[in-house]
Amino acid sequence: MSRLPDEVRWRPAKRSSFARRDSNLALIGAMLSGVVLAIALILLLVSKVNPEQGRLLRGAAADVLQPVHAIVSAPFRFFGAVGGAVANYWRAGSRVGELEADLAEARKQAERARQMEADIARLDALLKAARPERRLVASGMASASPASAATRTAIISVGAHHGVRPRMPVIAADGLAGRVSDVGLGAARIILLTDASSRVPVKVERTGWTGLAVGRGTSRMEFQFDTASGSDLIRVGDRLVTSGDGGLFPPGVPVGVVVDVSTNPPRIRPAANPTGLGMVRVEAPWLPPPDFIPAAPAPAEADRPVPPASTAPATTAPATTAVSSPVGRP
Amino acid sequence: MNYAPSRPDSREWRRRLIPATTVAAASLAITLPLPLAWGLMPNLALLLILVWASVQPRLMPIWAAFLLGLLHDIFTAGPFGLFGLLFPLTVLAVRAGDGRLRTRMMRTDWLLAAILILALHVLAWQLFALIGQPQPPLPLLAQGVVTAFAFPLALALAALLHRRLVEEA
Repeated sequence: MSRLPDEVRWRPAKRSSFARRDSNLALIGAMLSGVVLAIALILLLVSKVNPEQGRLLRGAAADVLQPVHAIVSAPFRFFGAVGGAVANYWRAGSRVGELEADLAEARKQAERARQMEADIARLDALLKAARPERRLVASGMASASPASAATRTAIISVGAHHGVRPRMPVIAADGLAGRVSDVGLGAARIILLTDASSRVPVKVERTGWTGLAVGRGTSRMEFQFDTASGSDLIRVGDRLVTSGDGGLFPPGVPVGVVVDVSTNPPRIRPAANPTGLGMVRVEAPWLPPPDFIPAAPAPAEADRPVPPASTAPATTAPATTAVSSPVGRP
Repeated sequence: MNYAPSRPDSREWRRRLIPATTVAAASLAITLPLPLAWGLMPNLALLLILVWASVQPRLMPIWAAFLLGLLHDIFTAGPFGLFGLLFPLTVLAVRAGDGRLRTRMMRTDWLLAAILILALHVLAWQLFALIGQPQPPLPLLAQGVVTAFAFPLALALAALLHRRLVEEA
């Protein structure tokens, strides 16, 4: 390589036009990569500030995916139903005995419940208690959840046309399914209870202690609660129902069953199987935030004369001596 | 033979769009409702990005990886921009690695791909924490391991399509 004289050093070395073009292209390519990565990072950070970003796009994707999912999941549903039918036929005799025993027990329970309902209605009338009602918005089919690791979601076959809005609670036959996240025109996506971002205020049905059912992205949830309320008294088999705190989920909907108390926090199995929700109902938020009536403006007060300032309060002098006296002492 | 640059005809366009189409189809496939309690399907879209970036770097430019990543985010309902960041990073990493490799062997390719895939899943876990939606690490790592094991599958799929690509060209 020949050294150039000092006065022309700033000038680029003479290269063939092909080499120059290649290096220019490489430079432009590197700049483009940097710009693309920067845009992606900015989008990601914007979604931190505004998690709603992309909601419309995701809703539209739900619209597109719902028919596809319905077709693909049809064989699974069919074989599941066939398997169930065969199993039922196989064990018909013993099942009848079990069911008859269950029915007798349930009749007793229902009688007791009816009496209690009447009592509660009477007490409500006495107290003039206002109980918000659960309002059904729409009901539809839910597909099984997709197999991506980071999000546990499902698609339901009702959307904005049916009155579904984001945040609405979704309830399956066996218990709570989740809440609506993105809404398309004829389909919506719901966040399942097992998603890592899912938090449901629950209480233990037997004791009434409250806590949170927290999703972990796996098949089980965690029951997080104030340990001071007595973790040793939570048993395997305790049923958890929604507490109604937060005003979104209606109270008393089954959320799950405690299956493991050796871990901390205890593990819950969801009451409604997230991979086989079947028909679900979308309800309006149970207790939405009220429209506050603005208070009447306060009447203007007339100025009052300020009393003349008195002399400095005498209490300061003893205070300073009290502080300084221990210093002087040995 | 005419060496002058000619306008690509419809066949040429189809050829150019094959890699992007396969990745989009794989993104769609991962949203299919499978009765799995965990999200344990291999991330085929990520694998195909990795393979195409190595086999046909010109048909998988970095901006295409970015757009395909955004599509993946929309389909999987993840945070918008997560895979929009991870897919271009994959392409960059593959390009950097391919420039350095002197010999190609299935074993080393698989090993390097596995390391890259696990690193990307750990990065995804960290990015979730960064944007304030912390995730438990286990499901993401499990998917990373499953994805790493599915590498030969993606390679076979890409090889099948690549053969047709070359035949058509």
